[in-house]
Amino acid sequence: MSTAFLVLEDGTLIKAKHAGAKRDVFGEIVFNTSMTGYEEAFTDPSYAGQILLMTYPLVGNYGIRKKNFESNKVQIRGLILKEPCFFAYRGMHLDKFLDLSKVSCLYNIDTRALTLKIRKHGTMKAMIVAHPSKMDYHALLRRIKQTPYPDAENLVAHVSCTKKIIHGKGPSRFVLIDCGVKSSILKHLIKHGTVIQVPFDTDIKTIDRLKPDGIVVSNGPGNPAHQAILSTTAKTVEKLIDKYPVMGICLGHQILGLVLGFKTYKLKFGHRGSNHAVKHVCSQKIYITSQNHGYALQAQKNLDAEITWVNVNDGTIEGIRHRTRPVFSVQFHPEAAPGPRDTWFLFKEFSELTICQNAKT
Amino acid sequence: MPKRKDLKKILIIGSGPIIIGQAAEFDFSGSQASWSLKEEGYRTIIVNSNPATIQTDERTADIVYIEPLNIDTLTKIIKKERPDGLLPGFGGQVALNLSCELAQQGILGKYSVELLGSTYETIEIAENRQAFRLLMEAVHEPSPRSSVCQSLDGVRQAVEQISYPVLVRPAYTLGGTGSGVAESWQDLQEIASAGLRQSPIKQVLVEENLLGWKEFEYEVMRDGNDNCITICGMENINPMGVHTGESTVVAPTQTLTDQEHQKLRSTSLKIIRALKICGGCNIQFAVNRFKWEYRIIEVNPRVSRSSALASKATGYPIARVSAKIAVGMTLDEIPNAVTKKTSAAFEPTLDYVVVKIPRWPFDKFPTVDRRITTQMKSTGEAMAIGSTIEESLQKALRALEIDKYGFEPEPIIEHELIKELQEPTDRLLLCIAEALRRGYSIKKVSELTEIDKFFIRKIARIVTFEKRLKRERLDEQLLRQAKRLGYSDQTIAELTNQTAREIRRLRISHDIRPGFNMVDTCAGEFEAITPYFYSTYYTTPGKKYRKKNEKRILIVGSGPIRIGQGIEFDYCCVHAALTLKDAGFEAIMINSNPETVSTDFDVSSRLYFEPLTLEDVLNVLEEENCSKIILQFGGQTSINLAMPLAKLGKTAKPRISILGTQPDDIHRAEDRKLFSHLLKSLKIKHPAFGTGYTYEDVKTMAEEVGYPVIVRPSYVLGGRAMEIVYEPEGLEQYIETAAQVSKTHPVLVDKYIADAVEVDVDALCDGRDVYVAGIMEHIEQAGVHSGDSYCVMPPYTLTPRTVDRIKSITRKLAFALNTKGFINMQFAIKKGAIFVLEANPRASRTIPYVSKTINVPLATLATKIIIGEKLENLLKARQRTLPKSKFVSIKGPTFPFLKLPGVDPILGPEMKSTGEIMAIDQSFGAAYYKAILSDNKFSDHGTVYMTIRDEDKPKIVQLAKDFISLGFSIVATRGTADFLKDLGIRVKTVYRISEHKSPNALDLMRQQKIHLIINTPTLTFRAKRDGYAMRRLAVELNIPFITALSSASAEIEAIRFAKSASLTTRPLQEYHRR
Repeated sequence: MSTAFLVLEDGTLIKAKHAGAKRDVFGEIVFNTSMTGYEEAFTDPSYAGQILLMTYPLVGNYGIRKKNFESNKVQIRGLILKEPCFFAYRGMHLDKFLDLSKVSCLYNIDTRALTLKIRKHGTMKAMIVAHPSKMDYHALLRRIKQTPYPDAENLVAHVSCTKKIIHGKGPSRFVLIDCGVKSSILKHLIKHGTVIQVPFDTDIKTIDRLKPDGIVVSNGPGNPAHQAILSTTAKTVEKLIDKYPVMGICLGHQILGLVLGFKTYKLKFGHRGSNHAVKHVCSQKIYITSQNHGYALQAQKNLDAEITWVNVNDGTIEGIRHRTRPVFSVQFHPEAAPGPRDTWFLFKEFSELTICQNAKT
Repeated sequence: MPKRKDLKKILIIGSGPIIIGQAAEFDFSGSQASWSLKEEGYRTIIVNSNPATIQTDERTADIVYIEPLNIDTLTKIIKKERPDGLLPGFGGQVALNLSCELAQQGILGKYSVELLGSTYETIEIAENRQAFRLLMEAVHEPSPRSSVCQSLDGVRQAVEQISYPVLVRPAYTLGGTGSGVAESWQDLQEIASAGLRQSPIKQVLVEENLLGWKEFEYEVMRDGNDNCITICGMENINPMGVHTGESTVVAPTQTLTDQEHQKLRSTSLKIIRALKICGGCNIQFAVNRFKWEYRIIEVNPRVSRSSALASKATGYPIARVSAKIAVGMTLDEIPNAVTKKTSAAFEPTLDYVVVKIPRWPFDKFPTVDRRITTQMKSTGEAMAIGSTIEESLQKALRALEIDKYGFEPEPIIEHELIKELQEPTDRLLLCIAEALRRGYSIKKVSELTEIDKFFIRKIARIVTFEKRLKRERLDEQLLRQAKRLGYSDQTIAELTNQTAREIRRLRISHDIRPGFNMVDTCAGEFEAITPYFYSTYYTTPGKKYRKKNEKRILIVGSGPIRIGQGIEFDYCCVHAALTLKDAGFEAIMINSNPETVSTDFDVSSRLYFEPLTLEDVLNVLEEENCSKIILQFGGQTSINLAMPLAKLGKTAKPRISILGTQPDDIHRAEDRKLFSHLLKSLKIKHPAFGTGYTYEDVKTMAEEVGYPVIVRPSYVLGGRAMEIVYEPEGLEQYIETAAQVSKTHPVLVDKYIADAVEVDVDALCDGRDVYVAGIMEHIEQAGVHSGDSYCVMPPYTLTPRTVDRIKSITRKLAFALNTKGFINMQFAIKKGAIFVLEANPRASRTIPYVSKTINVPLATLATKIIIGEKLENLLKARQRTLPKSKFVSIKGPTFPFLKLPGVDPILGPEMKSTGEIMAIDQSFGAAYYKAILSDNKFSDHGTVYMTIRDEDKPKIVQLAKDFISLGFSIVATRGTADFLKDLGIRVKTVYRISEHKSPNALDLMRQQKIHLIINTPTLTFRAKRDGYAMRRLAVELNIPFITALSSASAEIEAIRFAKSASLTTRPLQEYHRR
């Protein structure tokens, strides 16, 4: 237990206790409002490049177990907590986990005040300073301001798989374009067929050769309109939608949206939590969803796609569908983990869609 | 779906008096429902027998009936009012059962009244355990193996399928009355036969024992479009085997992983969908501690105590939204009361921890079985919000107002400590801390208590820190850490040998102050405007306090509901807040009770959910930059703060001024000596009294004033430990068991005026003028606590001259005490002499009852006086004189004896009732009949059993004759029987229990051959003990039971009325039409 600092882009300096790896960490600070599910959050590839603040004060209560991981490693760059629980009666203790996974963590922080600041100011760049003795505040602040946002680089490249991986053995074949996929998405897809996980920049020919019944474009970190995505994934998806049923989730939804003519923009502080109500436009039904995104789609006129889901709170687009093709996507996370399971059924729907489509062709 | 247009008028059934298992939460839910529906343009009708409710105010509902809650009354109301719909789910089990019966009997069908929210089928399935289990099987969800039994034979068969221990639960009883765990056939027989008797449908459930499993509750909502949301998951610290109402509860869940939590959440939604409930619903789960498996234990298809807790814990107004759903609105159409921008379709997320601890009435009942089990015994609860479990837990502990400011040491011997951990009582939390303090390991304590190690560990952290506080220098860092662990200044002071005031000063010098966070339902994600706050030392306090506003007043609430301090005080606080707001003030509320209307954030300008100790109140005053405070509405809780606040008043920043009657004057009324001087100087009579500092003193004093005497420890409040003793033997017994006597703890001895009529008076005084609002005559003789007596307005035996003298004495005292606001007086009247027993310059228990009887909102007027208005402008002259009443209004008590084994149901100066009912009708007989009906104990024929002490015997001649002329037969024990026989009255003699011969009274009672008991016990210590068995049996068999002859006379009038006429059922508004 030692003292460390958090420095924000706006000059805020917060003294706190430090746990985990004694590393200085730069990242984008974002908050998540889920009251459970820290194991899943820490390992969610969508958090690549980010320092995660948990608004629920107690974290670590029920320990940490690998079976709840959403990828094979910790993805967050840093962690901000109010009251970590360094003991647990099942799983690994949080402090040990932080050490092992080399996460730099600040705690005893007034996380609510910090959340309100982010809400007001918007997402910010921040730095965890684990070695305060050497710290030069002004130089540091200058550095934070000058360093571009982590999503200036193509974060997807860091979290996508590098070669094809095959999961399961069902008759249906799903090609999963991995932009940083969560294990839970894989688990759900495997229930409905064979999943062939491919890197984000896989080209159309390679995918064609895999003879897919359907394509899933996964979640992932960063900016969907990043040049490296536009020139790879987006380009491939553009061709895929004419040939196969396609489902997009989170970043995958944004990429699909771009392809279908939507624009994307960065939300002030994103949606990260397990309590986001979305409305299914057609049935007018409400579902509570798990969300983790900083960008969103912006509606445009005369598109080939229609809006199928909207956020009940702020009216942002939560889902779209192609008017004629079996192609849809959602901004929220139907696989949940962490979060409510209200929209698990979407995987089944997609699977049925692929079966229908096959019957037609 | 928009709200329904075909509904115009909606009936809401309330829950009746406060009883164990049904407290203020249903006033909160009923009031919210009514407000919510009125807001949508519906007309509401509320029926409730409890006058101390906001829901029976005319500003809450369009039409108010204060009538007994039974089928007969409700049928009349439905016939008269012809409502389109009935909300069954807002008045607890009482309303749900009545609604079902109305449906079953075809009354709803006949008058085309639709059940709203839950259909009859839904309620049937949720309430009938067999049907519920079938439904759970249909949706593949596990409920405990169980069997519904109608007889003891059935139980015997059922238990063959399930291994011991088994849990027995009677169907359709309140708060799990009559439940128990049986380890053997012998146990089972006993529990099951009692359960079969108590269940209104003679049904018990024998089920798989899940004792020791963890218990969770989920509050969920569903609308007519099948949208479902979860409001809150809550975790009981106590394992299964302790009723959730008896458990310490934490929100949100703490020890479940997301996978587990989501599984329970999804299951909850599945169940509410399967039941097709429209509105709120509560689902209880048992979860195995050792491997992942769960059972659904119970579903409440209505709002409940837990939903009130969830509403206050999250800020989501469950009852309010449920009512709108019941009239067809969907979640996305209902505005979000918190953000005012978005809709009700969202799930609250918390960034704090909530802890609720029950408040038990055991301080009142030294002989009660204190174990906490599947049967509820607590009367109320305190809730606290903080950043961590430690902080919230310690806050909740001091919010209980049980004289504990933290985990104070428990002086208890080793083997008793272990027993406390294994068989928990109200002291469990303190005993856990004590065990840890004595070196027990977390593992050991967890094994003994079956409480998750996580929670034990949290308590251990608090206990461990004690050592540091004791040893180390109290520097800034240590003090800050202590505050973050929830330590009160008082506890820190005790551990560091200082005073709380010194700690406070030290704290301020280091700028260690709490920050105040908003309860915003969304963990800060959206901008919210709820005026609802809690303190925490984990938040940096704002640099500036709130901007000064002269028109800002803090109202101190009344904390958890307990015997002697019920919902009446919350009623007054709500009125005060609403009145202040209407008058352009900022009304700031501080309270710790999650059940109440006062902690609805819509009621005040800003709500602080905080304990009501001096420290916490000062923090809020500081934060609010508020100097004005009202203390006279929150019962003893707030009055107790008067002197300490006054002492601080001048030095505090901001300066504190107590509005209304001043602390010195309050003290003059409370201190026996000062009060007696005052009475003497005013030439007002009072019973002789004295103060004893040693046993010898007390004995001499008693002899001087003459037996019988009322004895009580000085300054112990609410009639606690007060007793009438009739002879030196009784006094000795009292001093030994009930009260210490010493230099610092003197005992007060008052002459007990036997056979006197007691009168309560509520009045208002503005300094210039006194308004005597209510003169209430008690039916029971003086000596029975006024809260336990039936009382009648207008007085029914007092002469006009006596009434005038009472008024004039009240005036004199009100002026002498410089009263500003309320004053309550108690008188004993004997043979024309008027003695003053007490004067309380504060709101009394009877304020709502008097207000509703005379149709004057007294608490509103008192508030206006406190802020400087004058009576002459507030009340027109014709309102000032008590009108010649065209009706009689009676207030009656309800008692918790059934729920509290081991308690002697005898009435005395110590208050024992939990709640009250009001009955209003044209004549005394009719009103008294209604009052008895409200308590569900009445028989207009059959056999009266009399056992009367010698001095009363001459007085029963007329009574006995009256009973016989009304068609009753009389049985009596020998003494009473012989006395009556000599006078030619037909009586059957029965044996005393001690005679061991048949027929004795207990046998007859068990055979249901006795329908009314009149027992005036010989009140010597020994004789009391002898009658105990009979009185207890009467309670358990629900046989009407009278201990005062004046009540017996009243009963005769009621029976006479019942035989000759029928009751009228009229809305309150009609009675008040002049």
